[in-house]
Amino acid sequence: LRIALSHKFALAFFATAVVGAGLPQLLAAAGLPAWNAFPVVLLAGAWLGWAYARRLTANFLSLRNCAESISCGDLTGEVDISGGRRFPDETVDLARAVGAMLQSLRELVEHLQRAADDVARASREAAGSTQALDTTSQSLARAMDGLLSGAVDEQRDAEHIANRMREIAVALRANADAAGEAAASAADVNQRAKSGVTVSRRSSARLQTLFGEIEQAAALAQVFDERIRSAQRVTEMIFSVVEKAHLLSLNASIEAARAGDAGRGFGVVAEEIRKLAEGAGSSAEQIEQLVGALESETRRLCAANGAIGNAARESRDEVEGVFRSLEQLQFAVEESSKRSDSIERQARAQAAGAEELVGDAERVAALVGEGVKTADEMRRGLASQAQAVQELVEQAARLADMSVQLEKVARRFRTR
Amino acid sequence: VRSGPWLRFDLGGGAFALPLESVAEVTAAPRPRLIPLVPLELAGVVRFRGEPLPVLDGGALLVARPLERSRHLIVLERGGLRLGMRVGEVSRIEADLRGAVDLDDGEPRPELADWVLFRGRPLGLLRPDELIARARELFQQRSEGGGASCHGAF
Repeated sequence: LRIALSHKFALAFFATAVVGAGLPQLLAAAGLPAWNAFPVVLLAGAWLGWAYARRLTANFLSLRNCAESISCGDLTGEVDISGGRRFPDETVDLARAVGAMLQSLRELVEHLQRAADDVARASREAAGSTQALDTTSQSLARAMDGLLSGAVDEQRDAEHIANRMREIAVALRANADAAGEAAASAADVNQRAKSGVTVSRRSSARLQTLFGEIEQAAALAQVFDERIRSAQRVTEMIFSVVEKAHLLSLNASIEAARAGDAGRGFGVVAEEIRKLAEGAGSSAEQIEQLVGALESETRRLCAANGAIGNAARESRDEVEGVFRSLEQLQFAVEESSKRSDSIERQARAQAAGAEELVGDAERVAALVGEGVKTADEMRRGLASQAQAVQELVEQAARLADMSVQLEKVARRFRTR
Repeated sequence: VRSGPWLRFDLGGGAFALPLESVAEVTAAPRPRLIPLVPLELAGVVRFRGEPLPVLDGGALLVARPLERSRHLIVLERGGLRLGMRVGEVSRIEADLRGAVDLDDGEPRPELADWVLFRGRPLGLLRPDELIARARELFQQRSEGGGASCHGAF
């Protein structure tokens, strides 16, 4: 039964007033002095006031204790509303409201603690994640720097390759032109070689005839040398005769001198013989000189003819060898001309392929340049991202600190 | 000495002459047979007209240098003795030596009568008797085993 606090006060006052008014008659009825009613009323009123005040302040004390516990962070306590449970009043309502508030506060704090725990855990995880993100971002930025550097190098290499390919294409074009000129020259040389082989055939036949005549001349020179030797032998015989005539004239002169006047005519004959011998000797000497000169010349001629004959015999083989070599050379030149034509065609095909390669290389260089630009933009984006991540890391660190603070604050409330 | 005809010959670069009256014959110089252990002045022995003829080496005798080449052999005849002498070459018979000028060589030799300047060059005039005597002396040296320079091969 709920009785309002004002009603309780009114009832207590009414009861006290009834006791005060009726007690003297009761005392009087009981034969007691009436003055006894006054202290009894006082005592009864004091007792009633004290009991009522106690009953009234019990809930307040409970509320105060509860408030103190709450102020200390202890939410485990309950509001004691034992007083007034039979006849509840506003204090019971207040206690019940405070209990409900405590319950709500407990639930709120528990929820807040769980939230603080979750926030702290999440902030720690976020701090770790942002740290990892920052590390990853920095690694990514460094990787991007490396990628950009590699892309720049690659762009430079691609341009270098394109330039080299361009030079190679030019060289291949020049090579193809040179191969064309070589092929034309080889064709001309081939034609000339054919003409040379034809001329060498005629020359070989003439040389064979010439070699035969040289050998005949050598044989004739040998015969002439034999004749010269015969003439020398004849000259030697003439010298011998001249010598004998000379001795004969000397001895005849000696005999004539010995004979004195009788031998004077004989002496004249001897003198004539001597003169004849001297003339013959002189002629023989001239003949000897001539024959000697002829012999010397003939010897030289024979030696020259022999050398010429030997050279001719050797040259005959050599000419044959040269002729065969010329034929082989002509064949080789013809083959070389064919190969030069083939080389020219291949060189021109290579030059065309090289020019295509140059176009490809230039396109690759352009693509690499685009890639470098993209990589540079990505690098700048990554730098901005890294900066943002760094700020995020700092925010996450601050959030973690705040969550710790919040958790500490939430932990100050004890709900169980 | 200078009267009469002379037989002039060349010998080792020099010119010499013999009285023609002492010359029996001039012939081509045959190769003499060497005689062992005789002086170099004796060239050897040749067969002449079927008889042995001792031969002097004119070079070794007159210019102290044995002849390497000899064209003529002069046969001397004196008092029934014959002696051959190898010379370089017999030049000619001089009818006389008019115009020859005496030369003073300062070294008299028995077989060399005189040195004269004839036709612009020195000419040694020989004594045939001394040559024969010299040959005889050389043969005597051989028989006595003397002689400094000999044909030691034999």
